[in-house]
Amino acid sequence: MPDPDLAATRSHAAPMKGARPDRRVSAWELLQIWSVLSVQSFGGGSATLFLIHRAFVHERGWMSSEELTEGLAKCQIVPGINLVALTILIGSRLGGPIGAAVSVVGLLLPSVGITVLMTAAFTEVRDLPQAQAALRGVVPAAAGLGVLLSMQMALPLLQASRREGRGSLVLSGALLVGSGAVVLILNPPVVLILLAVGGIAAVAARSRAQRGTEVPKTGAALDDAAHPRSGSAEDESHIGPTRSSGSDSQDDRWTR
Amino acid sequence: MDALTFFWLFLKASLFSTGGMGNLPILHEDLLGRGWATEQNFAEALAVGQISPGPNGLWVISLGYLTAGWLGSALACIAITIPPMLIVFIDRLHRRVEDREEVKGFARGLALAVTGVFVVVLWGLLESNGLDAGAVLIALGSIGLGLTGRAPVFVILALAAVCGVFLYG
Repeated sequence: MPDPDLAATRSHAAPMKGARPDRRVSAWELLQIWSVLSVQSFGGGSATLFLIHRAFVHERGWMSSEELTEGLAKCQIVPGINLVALTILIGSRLGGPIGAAVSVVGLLLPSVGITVLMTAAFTEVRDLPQAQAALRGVVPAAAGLGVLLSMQMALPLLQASRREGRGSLVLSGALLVGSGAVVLILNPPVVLILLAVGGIAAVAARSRAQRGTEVPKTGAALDDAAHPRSGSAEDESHIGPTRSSGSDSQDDRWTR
Repeated sequence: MDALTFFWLFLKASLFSTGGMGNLPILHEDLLGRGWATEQNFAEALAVGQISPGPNGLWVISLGYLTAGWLGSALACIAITIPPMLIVFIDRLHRRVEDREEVKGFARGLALAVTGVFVVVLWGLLESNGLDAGAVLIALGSIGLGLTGRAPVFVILALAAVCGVFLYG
């Protein structure tokens, strides 16, 4: 995504930040949209995201593609399922707190119901030899798709690190491989690994930022240090690549 | 198995992770450790979760059902709905949070760690499912099909099920 787009996205974002929605959509209408979408979304998260994009961007034009991407990026740092967070975000922007609640119910009630029924149906047949054979085939495929998902998650992170320099890339690679290796060898509580690795990366990012401001090489860096939230042209070009890489990969995922 | 602890384990797993599958390593550790779930339950839940409608994260609903029936799936559903609500605060604090390098770094570190641990857990699932040439081929084939971006997940898993019936039936 080129920088002008990005600048537009950022300036759009400012007025929408507050709790006040841009547009009031009735709770009933939101419930209908999300339920219809939910029933159709067989095939997991990518299908769901595709349908969300179609319903709110293409069909109704209530938000731009960039707004949706930016919202999704924010949802990455929220705990839990990103798409549920995205649903809450869209719902609250379009219909306030009630809109958010209704949207989540609309998304989850049908899909959770169908998931439970499918699981119940599966438990009925799982003792049949054919069902067990089929599952033995499905598990490696599900694991393979999981590995693919991991690669898709890791790649933008590593690319962003590479842009910050070799040291950052090496650190990110080491944290990625290291956390897997630590589980294999020491098997400590997983939460500890997550918090420790997050902490290391936070400290590294902070020291990287400090080094950047102490030894300013360009006018852009000086400007960043003086006005960290100025949103100046230099600021945009500095932040641009990191943000756009994330957006691009998200875009890919739901245009497929 | 008491309902409150069950609920807390599911809530904790979602609170300390991001993404629909990020909670997998924590749940895997807690439920297996207590003997409340088996490797087989995880494999089954992941498979159903990939096919069923809604976010992939709903595999947890399936896991809840497999380990504790209807009550389990209901508790799992409530547990996964609560953590994403934090988006409302994140959205408000967005500007301030976004510009802090530590926050960006922490989020990235968390995502890297989840990914690294996730792959190890997937490997464990593969092993307990029976690791043979067929399984490796199916896994590689599904990665290949997934990479093309054209084959729906549903189709990939259906093909794998057919392969399973031929190979192991």
